Amino acid sequence: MTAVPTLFKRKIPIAMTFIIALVVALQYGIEHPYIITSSNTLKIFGVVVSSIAIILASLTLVISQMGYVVKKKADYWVGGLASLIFFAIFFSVGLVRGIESVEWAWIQKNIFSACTTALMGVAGFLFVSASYRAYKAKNIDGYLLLASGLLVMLSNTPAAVVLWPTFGPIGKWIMSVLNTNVQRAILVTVALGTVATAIRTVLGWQRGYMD
Amino acid sequence: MFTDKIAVLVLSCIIVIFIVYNVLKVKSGKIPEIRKIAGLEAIEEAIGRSIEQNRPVHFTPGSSSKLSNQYASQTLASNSILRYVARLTASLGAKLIVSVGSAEIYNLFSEIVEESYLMENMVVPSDTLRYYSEGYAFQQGAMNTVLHEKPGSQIFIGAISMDGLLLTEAASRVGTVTISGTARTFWIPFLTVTSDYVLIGEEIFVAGTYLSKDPIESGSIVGQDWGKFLTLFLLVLGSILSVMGNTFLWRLLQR
Amino acid sequence: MSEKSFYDKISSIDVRLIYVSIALVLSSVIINPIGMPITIGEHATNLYNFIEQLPEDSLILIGIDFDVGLYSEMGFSLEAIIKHISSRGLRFIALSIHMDGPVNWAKANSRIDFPSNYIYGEDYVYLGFIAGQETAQAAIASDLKKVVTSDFMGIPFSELPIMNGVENSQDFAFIIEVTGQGHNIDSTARQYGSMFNRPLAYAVAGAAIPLAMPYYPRLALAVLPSIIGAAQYEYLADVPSSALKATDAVSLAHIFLFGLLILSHIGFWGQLSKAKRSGGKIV
Repeated sequence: MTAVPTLFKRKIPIAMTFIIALVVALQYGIEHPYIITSSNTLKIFGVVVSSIAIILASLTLVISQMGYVVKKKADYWVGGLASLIFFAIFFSVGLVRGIESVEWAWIQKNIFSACTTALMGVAGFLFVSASYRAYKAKNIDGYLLLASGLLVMLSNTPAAVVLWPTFGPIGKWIMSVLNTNVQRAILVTVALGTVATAIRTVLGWQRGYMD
Repeated sequence: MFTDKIAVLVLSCIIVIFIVYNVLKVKSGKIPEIRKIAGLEAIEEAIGRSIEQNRPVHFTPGSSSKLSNQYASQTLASNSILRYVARLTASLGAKLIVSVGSAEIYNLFSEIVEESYLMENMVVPSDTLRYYSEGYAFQQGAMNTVLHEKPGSQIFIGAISMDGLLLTEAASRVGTVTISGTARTFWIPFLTVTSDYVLIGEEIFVAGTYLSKDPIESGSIVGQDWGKFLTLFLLVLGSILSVMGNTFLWRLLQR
Repeated sequence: MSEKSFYDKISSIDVRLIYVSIALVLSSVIINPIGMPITIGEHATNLYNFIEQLPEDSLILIGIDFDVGLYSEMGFSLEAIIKHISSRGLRFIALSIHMDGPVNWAKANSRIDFPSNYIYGEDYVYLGFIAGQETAQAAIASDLKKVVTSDFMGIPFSELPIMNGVENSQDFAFIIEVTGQGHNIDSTARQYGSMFNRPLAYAVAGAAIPLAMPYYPRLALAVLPSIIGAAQYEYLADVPSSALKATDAVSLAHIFLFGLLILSHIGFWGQLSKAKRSGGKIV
C-alpha cells in the first residue's frame, strides 16, 4: 500500500536527480552532441526552476507577514504591515507601468536603492566598531593576523604607499603567497565536502531535504 | 569525443568511488571516530546557559543558505545541526527561535523543528520559526530579533553573508554567546573576530556527522579525507616533478 | 568602585564617538578633497593593456552582479571600464545574475556619457537579470539564446544587431565580472574560465579580493580591487570621475582604522600588564 507513495515521493525524484547530475557532469569531460544538448536543456530548466523559486519567496513573504499582521503579534505587526504595503506598491507599479517606466525607476532609486545604501553604510560603521571592540591579539596567531591585516590595509591605502612604497610589495606578497595558498587549500576541502553532499543527494543517502 | 577536461572528470570519479566505498564499508561495520570540535561541544553548554538566564536560543543558517545555489551543501549541514539543537532545546525546555532567510528552506526547517519537538513529546510554539524575506530584509529582521529578544546563545551555522557581521555584533551588544560556522571563506575572518566559537570551512560538514553519528555521513567524511590525501599526493608529486623540470603530471592534468 | 585607568578608558571608548569621528573625517575630505597622490597597481595596468590590445570587432561580456549598496565600491569600476570600452569602439553585452543588477545598470547608464556614435542595440546591450546564479551562468555560457530572447526592456534579439551570431561564451573575447560576492567569483571562474577557457577579469569589493586572488594570474588576468582599482583605472583610461575623488576618503578611512586598532591594542596590552602585575586577569 505504501509502495506507490514511496515510488513517487522518493524513488522517482532520486532517479531524476541522479540522471540529471550524471548528464551535466559528463558534459565536462565528454563532447558527444547528445550529452551537450541534454545538458544545455537541463541547465535552462534550472533557470526556470530558479525563477519559480523567486515567486515562491514572494508568496512566502506575503503569507508570513500577513500572519504577523492578522495575529497582531507584538512589535512585529507594524513591520509586517509596512512590508506588505511596500510589496504591494512595488508589485503594482511593476505590473501596471512596467519595469522600464519612470515610476519604477523612481521607486527603485529613491526607496530601494536609498534604503540598501543606508544599510551598507551602517555595516561600514559596524565593521569599524567590531574591529575596535572585538579584535584583540592575545596570542602569537593573533599577533600574526594583526600584523598581516595592518600591512595589507596599508598597502591598499594610496597615501601610505606613496609615503613608503615598500608597503605595496609587502601587501602583494601577503596576498599572492600567503593568502592565495590558504584560500586554495580551503577551496579544495570545501569542494570535497560539496562533492560528498552531492553524491549523498544523488544516491538518495542525504537526509533532510526530501523527508 | 573527450574534452580537454577529461582528467578532472576522471579525478572526480575517483573521489566519488572513495566516498561510495567508504559509505558502504561503514554501513556494514564500525562507525569511525571523529575528532572533537570545540564549537560543537559548546552548543550544549551555551543552551544550558540560556536556560539558566531564562533567555531564548537563537538559531539561523544565514541569508545565503538555500537549496538552489552552490551553498546547498552548507544548508544541509546547517539542517543537521538544527535537528540536534531543536531536540536539545525541546528536551531541556529552552525557547528556540529560528530565523530563516530563504523561502525555499522555510518549510524544510519548519519540518525539522516539528519532528525534533515531536520526538521529545513537545509542541512547537507558534513564534519559533521566523521568516523576514531575503537578503537585507532578513539581515535587519534577524538583527532586530537578537536585539529585541536578547538570546542567551546564538548558533549561526550555514552559508553566511553580511549577516555574519550584523548578527554577531548585535549578539555582542546584548551579551549573547555566539557559535558560528561557515564554509564561505569571505566571512570566516569576520566570524573569527566576532564569535566566541567558530567552525571553519569543512568543520560544518563534519558537524552534522559528529552530532548525529550517522553511518552514511561518517563514511562520506572518511571518503573526503581519502580525497584530501590524493590531492596532497598529487600536489607533492607535481611540485617535485616540476622542480626537476618534468611537466608530465601537469600536462596529464591539463587534458 | 575603582576609577578607570588610562588603559581602561582607551579600551572602552563609546562606539558612538567612534561613529561620529569617522563620519566627520570622511565627510570633510569628500566635501573638500585634499588631492593625495595615488600609485597605479599591476591589476589596473593588466586590465587596461588587455583591453587596449583587443581587436576592434571584439565582443565583451560584462557581469553586473553586486548589491546596490556597494555601488560606491564597484559601480565606479564598472563605469570606468565601460567608458574605456566604449571609447575604443569595442562592443559589450551586459547581464546580471544578481537581483540588484538592473538597478546598478540603470544608475551606471545614467552616469556614463557614451560617444555619439556608440549606439544601444548595435554596440552595447543590457540583457537584464537572469535567475539561477551559477545555473544561469552555466546555461548562458553553453547557449545564451536559449536562456534569453530579449533585452532588459523586452526588445527581441531580432531587433538588436549586436546579438547576431552570438551563441555562447566562445563568441566573447573577454569576460569581466563586477561583483562583491565570493560565490560569483567562483562560479564565473568555473563556468567561463575553467569550462570554456575564456579570458577573465574581476572588479571586486575590498573584502572579496582574497577570494579572487587564487584565480590570478592563471584564470583571471586582473583583479581590480574595489574603489582603489577604480581610481587607478580612471587615471589610466583618462576618465577621471568619482573614484579618483574618493581616494582621499579611502586613505583617511584606512589610516583612521589603523589608528583605532593600535589604540585598542595599547589599551588591551596596558590592561594585560596591569592585571599580570596584580595577579588577576582580563576576561
